[in-house]
Parts: sequence; C-alpha cells; structure tokens
Amino acid sequence: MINKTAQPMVWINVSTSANWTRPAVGIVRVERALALHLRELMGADQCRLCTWQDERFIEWTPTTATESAVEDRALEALVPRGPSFDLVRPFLTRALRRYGGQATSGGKDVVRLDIPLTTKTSLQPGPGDFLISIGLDWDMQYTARFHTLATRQGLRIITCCYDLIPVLFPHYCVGEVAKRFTEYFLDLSWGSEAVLCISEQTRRDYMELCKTLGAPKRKSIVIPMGDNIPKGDEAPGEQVLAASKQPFILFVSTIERRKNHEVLYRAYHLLARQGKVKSLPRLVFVGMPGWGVGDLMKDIELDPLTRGLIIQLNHVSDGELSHLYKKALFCVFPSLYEGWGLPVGEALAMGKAVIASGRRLATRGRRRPGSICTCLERICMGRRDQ
Amino acid sequence: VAANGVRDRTVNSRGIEKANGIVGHRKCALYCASAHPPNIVGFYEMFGKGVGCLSPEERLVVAGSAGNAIRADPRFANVPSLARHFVDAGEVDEETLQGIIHCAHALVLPITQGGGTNLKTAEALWSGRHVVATPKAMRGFEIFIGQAGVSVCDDDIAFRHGVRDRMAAPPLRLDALVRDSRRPVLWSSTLRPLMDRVNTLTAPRR
Repeated sequence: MINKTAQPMVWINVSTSANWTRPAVGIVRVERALALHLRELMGADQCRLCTWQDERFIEWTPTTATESAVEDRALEALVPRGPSFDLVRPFLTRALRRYGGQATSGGKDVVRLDIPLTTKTSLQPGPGDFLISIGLDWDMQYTARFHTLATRQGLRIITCCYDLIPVLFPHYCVGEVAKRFTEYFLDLSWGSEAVLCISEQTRRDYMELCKTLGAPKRKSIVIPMGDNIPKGDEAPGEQVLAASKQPFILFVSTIERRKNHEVLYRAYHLLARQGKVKSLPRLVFVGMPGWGVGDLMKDIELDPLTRGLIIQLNHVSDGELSHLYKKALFCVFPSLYEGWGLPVGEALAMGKAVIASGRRLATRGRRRPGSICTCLERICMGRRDQ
Repeated sequence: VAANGVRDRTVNSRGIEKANGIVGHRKCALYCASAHPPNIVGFYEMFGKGVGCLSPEERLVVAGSAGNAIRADPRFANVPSLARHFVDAGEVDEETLQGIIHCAHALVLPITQGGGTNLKTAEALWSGRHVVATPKAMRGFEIFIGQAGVSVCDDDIAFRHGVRDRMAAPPLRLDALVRDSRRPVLWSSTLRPLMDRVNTLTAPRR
C-alpha cells in the first residue's frame, strides 16, 4: 500500500468513462484500469473519482444497484427513477452509506441521517489536491480550463500524452486535426504540473513540440501501459468459432490507414497470385473499420484471390478475444506509427509471438508488402515444412 | 546622420481605460505595426508554427493596420492557438495607443525584412516594457542589445521562447541609469546633430 499519511487527495477524472456508452476501447480501458488499480493501491479514502459537471469537477459515484433493501426504499422515497435523477441517486446512496443509521424509533421503516457539519470531506477537488486526467480529453471542454484550475484554484493537474500522431501525421487521421491537437497539447503544457507519456517515443515527440512552439516543458514521466490478458466468461460465438477453426494469424486493431492493414492484404494477394494459397493460414482482423479504409475493405471483399482468406470480426467480447489470442498461430502489428502498440503487449502477455513494424516506418514511408511476404513465407511455409 | 526618433509621450487615465476595454485587463504582448507587407511576413515567420509561448490567459495584441492584415491572411486560421490569443486593436488614436503600451507587459518586434529606420524599435525601447526583437529589428539600436528587458532572438523558436520568458518575468522597472541610456532614441537626441549643424551654418560669420 502507498503511504496514506500524504495529505493531498488524488482525484481521477473519469468523465470519459462515465459518458462512454459503447464497448470500451483503448483509452477508455486505460482510464478505467487506472481508476481501479490506483484506488486499490491508495485506498478509496485517498483516491476518489470525479467528472466534469456544470463547469467544475465533482465527485463521481458509479451508478450501481443499491446493496440493501433499506437503501432502495429510502431512495425511492426521496427521488423517482428517471434520467433527470441519474446524477443525484449515486450521491444520495453515498450519503446513506456514509451517514445513515437505524432510527431509534419507527423500527425498520425509518432511516436516520446524521450528517456531521464539521466534516471536511469535500465533494470536489480543492487546493493542493491532485487531479489525474488521462481520458479522451481533446474532446472535452475542461482541458482549456486546466490552466485556470491550476493557477486560480490550486489544483495540481497530471495529464497524459498518448501520442502525437494527429500533429505529426495528420494525413493518417480524420479531417484537419493537426491544429486542434496542437492546441490540445498546448493546453496540457500550460495546465499540467506533470505530463505522463506512454513511451519514450511519445515523450520525445511531446518535448520536441513544446520546444518548437515555445510552450513550457512540464515534468514528463514515462508510464508504459500495463497489459491485462483479456478475460471473459462468455463462450465464443459462431462467427468467432468459425474463424478460429483453421490456423490463423491475428491482427487486433481498429481498421484505419495508420494501422496498415493494407500491407497485409497486399502481401496475401501477392502470395495467393504466386499459388501459395494452400500454405497460407487465414488472416483475422479484429476491430471496427474506421475512416479512410473504404477502398481497402471493398478490395478485400471482392478480391477472388484472397476471398475466404481474410476475415474481419467486429464487436468481439473479451472472452472471444481471449479465445482468439489462445488459438492464433501468432499476431501481427504492421502499424505505420504508434505511441504505444497496446495489442503488441496484449499478445505478448498471452504468450504469442508478434511480427511488428519498426518504429521509424512512418517517417520512411515504407508500405511495400514484399518484406511482409518474405516474413510470412518464412514463418508459415516453414511451419508447414516442419 | 540624423536618425528618426520618437516623442516622449505620456499616458493618461482615459487612455488606460480605453486600452483595458480592448485588452480586457489581460496580461498581453503588444505588436505595433502597419499593414506594410514585411510586418506581416515577419509576424508569420515568428508565430506561424503556433503560439505556445503565451499562457491561455495572456493575449497578443496588434495595434495598427497590421492587425487586420494578419487576420485576413489565409494562414491565420491554421496557426495553432493564434485565434485564441489574438486581439486586433486596429488603428487607434494616440491616447489609446499610449494606454495599450502602458498596459502591455512586453512589446514584440518580429521584423525579418525591410529597410529604413525601425521606429517601432525606438518606441518599444522607450516604452520601458520588456522587448523581444529579431536582430533585424535591432538594426541601428545595437547598443541596447543586452540591456535589461531586451531579448534579441535569432530564429522563430528562440523568439517564441523569448516571448514566454519575458511574459513570465515580473514587470520591467528600468532604473534611472538605463532609462537615461535610452534617451538617444528621442527626437530631441536624434535631431541634435542636425540642430548643431544648422546652428553652425546660421551663426554669424566673423
């Protein structure tokens, strides 16, 4: 356990997770993992969660089913169920749990709340408290307020820089993002006391940007992403079972230009044209199609040479992903540029070999499938020969 | 040589009030310039990659017709953080200009080309505010390089760092000695050789 005598409260901004309604993706998972593990390490009294509401950060309590029938009944008596009261119900639950007690009269039909007015327990981060914010902050209003929160309210803000891809390689992203993300990184620099970077590469990129633009260089700490083996009890669905029936190579990633699915397709096309279809394992893409890959998806769908060889799976559960990792021959990750390739760590944690691109691939602009062909041939056909 | 100079002008409360109406009581860096093309070129050469050198609360105020020219330039919308910090004061009267100079924390001189006298450099030096300048802007004023509150920056990255350093520094207070050393930028000093020459010519011949 971390020493609890240190006084400042640590708040984790979970605005991204609290507002996320789809299956969790990379950064959402990271934010949730941080909240979970840091609270375990520090204790819930020392480390609390907050979200941005009404122009301020306030404590966030997860909406969970209440634990006791008494709490349920007390809540029902105070607020009706409905979207308008979604925010207040967790607060009342917390108040009941913290201050509620058995009334001296009225038996089990009365709950008494004794709220000590001298309590210093705050519902929001205060001066000297740490605020850790590592979500999808470029989409959030509060990022531009970090500097004010730090200078006027005394918050000590710690943020995270995942990568500078939208600034360095905007052509791999959706629309014109370079300016917007540059402004976001400037907000981080001005508002943060420290900036966490998920790799040395990201740290170098971030520091270089600060230097170029004249922004203050904050303390930057490299915190590599932890990798958890995806767990899940769900049995694999039919589609996943069918995909994993025969030997296959796995590529876990959103399908977008930067991830370079194209080079794998081209390599498969070339190998198929050379008459090596029977030696090739299937290629399974796990991830949803993103921007700029419409033509590629159409090619994969219509190419008679590779038909049936390349399979795309979407909305894969943790249990199914775990099944796919276990069954895969090995994993591939030919991305053109990454701050931190999370699936590489995931695959290694699952004990799988990974063929990954070198870190300077994007700057060299290498997208030729030839080297991939050679690599696949050596591994796949060598395996057959053995 | 009778160089151009500046007047020793005074600020009044109405000028300060007008200035605060423009600047919004924010800490600001000031660029006084006309729409003369070199002034715009220099501005974008120094700030074109992004305005990371100002905190979110600080402003970059442009007084004079350069403001409109900078805003109308196609690059304006693409420079990160420029629109957030930019305040176009426009062409203001003398009283307001003195108010803006009084309220400014630093004066910037992003001059990278052009010839002639750098009048705005003389004005900046005499203002007593922090000055961030290019070597080109300091042409003719080299004796002031290295003085308190004067940063001369060779390239755009150094210029932006210079702006950040000056904005982070306490307000400049020039001591009497340094203040006196800057008197040569005033008309009364720059015209002295001419006056002496005229006096010599008009003196009764013996």
